[in-house]
Amino acid sequence: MSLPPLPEQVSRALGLFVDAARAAFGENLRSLILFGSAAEGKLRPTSDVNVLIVLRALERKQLDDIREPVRTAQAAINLQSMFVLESELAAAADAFANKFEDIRRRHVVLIGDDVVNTLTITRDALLRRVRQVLLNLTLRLRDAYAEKSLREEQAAAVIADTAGPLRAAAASILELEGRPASDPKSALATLAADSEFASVLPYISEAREQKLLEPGMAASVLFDLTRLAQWMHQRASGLP
Amino acid sequence: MNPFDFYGPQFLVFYIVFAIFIFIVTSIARRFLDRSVVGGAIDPAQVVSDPYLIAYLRGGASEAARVAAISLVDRDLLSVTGSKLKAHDNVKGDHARHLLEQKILLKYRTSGEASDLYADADVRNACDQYEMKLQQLGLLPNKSITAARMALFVAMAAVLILTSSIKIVIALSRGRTNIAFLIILTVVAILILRKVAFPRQTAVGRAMIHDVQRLFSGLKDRVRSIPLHGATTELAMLVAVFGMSAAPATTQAWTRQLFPQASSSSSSSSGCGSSSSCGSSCGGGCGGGCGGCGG
Repeated sequence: MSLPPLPEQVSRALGLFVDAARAAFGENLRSLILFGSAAEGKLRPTSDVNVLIVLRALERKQLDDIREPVRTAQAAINLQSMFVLESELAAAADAFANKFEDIRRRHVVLIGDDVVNTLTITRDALLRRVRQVLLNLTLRLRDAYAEKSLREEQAAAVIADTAGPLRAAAASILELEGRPASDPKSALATLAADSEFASVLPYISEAREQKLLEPGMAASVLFDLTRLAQWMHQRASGLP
Repeated sequence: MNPFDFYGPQFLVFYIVFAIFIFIVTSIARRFLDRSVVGGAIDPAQVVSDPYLIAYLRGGASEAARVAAISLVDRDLLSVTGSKLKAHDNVKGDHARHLLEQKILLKYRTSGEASDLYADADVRNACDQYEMKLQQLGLLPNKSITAARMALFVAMAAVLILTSSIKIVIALSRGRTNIAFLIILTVVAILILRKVAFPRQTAVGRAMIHDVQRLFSGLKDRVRSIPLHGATTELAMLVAVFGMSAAPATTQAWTRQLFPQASSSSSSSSGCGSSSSCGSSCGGGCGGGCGGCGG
């Protein structure tokens, strides 16, 4: 198992989880894949640690055995796990193409084969899913603006949580446009450079790190993010 | 220079320095003994999955019971009114998985003071399993470790008593009877030695606490964003690993009311024994929850 550079406690907790998964699923464990910012070695203190667990088959007893390790790793390093059967992978990649495209871009195999690189993610599936995600995000952000922008800290939390989906969607749009970016964060920067929203991006990072923005900023930033998501949706909708 | 020829005050100073030296030797030897009996480091995987086991190791039965009560309140199985706890009417003991949780739920079928938690025999008995497991792992002193510590304590206490006895005999033989301070000092030294020789945790147990605190250091950094209301085990783990004082500000109001002393103590103390973060990587989903692929 070759891990990217991660904080010591993350490596150790992840190692404990990997051992537990190996013990719980045994021969049914086809692959265990780390993806997202941890796979890039760009983990922040507040970041999730995402793992994809691909199984040949699933028995309830095995899922029972992994319950405690999942909860422990979630508490220790904010681990988020996704359990997928090998037979479901292709369908999952088609249904959640944007997600799996992101996994394909940023992943490290911890156990087993690299089942992600061999997945086929069609342009149609990716386009459909990116549009869906961005439309969904636009609607949710409008709702969040109405509900939460009167509270600075709540608006900042929404801004921080928006970073992941916006960046992944931006990476997919650039991929579809034939000019892939090196990572999702730079993809969003590249895409936003074509718009009037480039100046809002530093506030996303600030909200993720500080949980707060300068007084009076959060509502404006949240509204601009709503418009950015809308603009990205329109851009994705215009793609052939 | 024979220290037994020192005058009274000089010898008392010598004795204090000598006793400190004995304490240091005892502390080092006791750690060595603890480790040699246990036979090396323990895999943290044997401890980290159970917050109550960690809490027991850190602070004993009362700490484990407090953490369990806080977890039950967070999961909305127990309700808080002032300093009182009560299980919700439709909650049965079996709704909880751990024996300790079950006993607490049964105890608070009728409203009662949170401070009575430790007085309940069933709750205390439910904690025995943690003590036994920690003793088996060598994180708390078991019979072998206690025997080794006792041998060390007796040897070191003998050195202290012998030293003061020789001086007392010499003083009396020279017609001096002002030996009361030396006797008092010897008794105090023996009491301190007892503390040094018999700490609650073993050296391996203490190292395990530090190890677990390092492992969960990220949780402390995320304290402002951990999900409450039982969504995860994070609150229970946070207070188990770092103590009540580490609880998020939003829970401090009721944890302080329930357990005022524990809440104000530091994270390393021992002794007596809302927001969701959905969608950050999934793209969200209209009403579809936030796990999986954001569908």
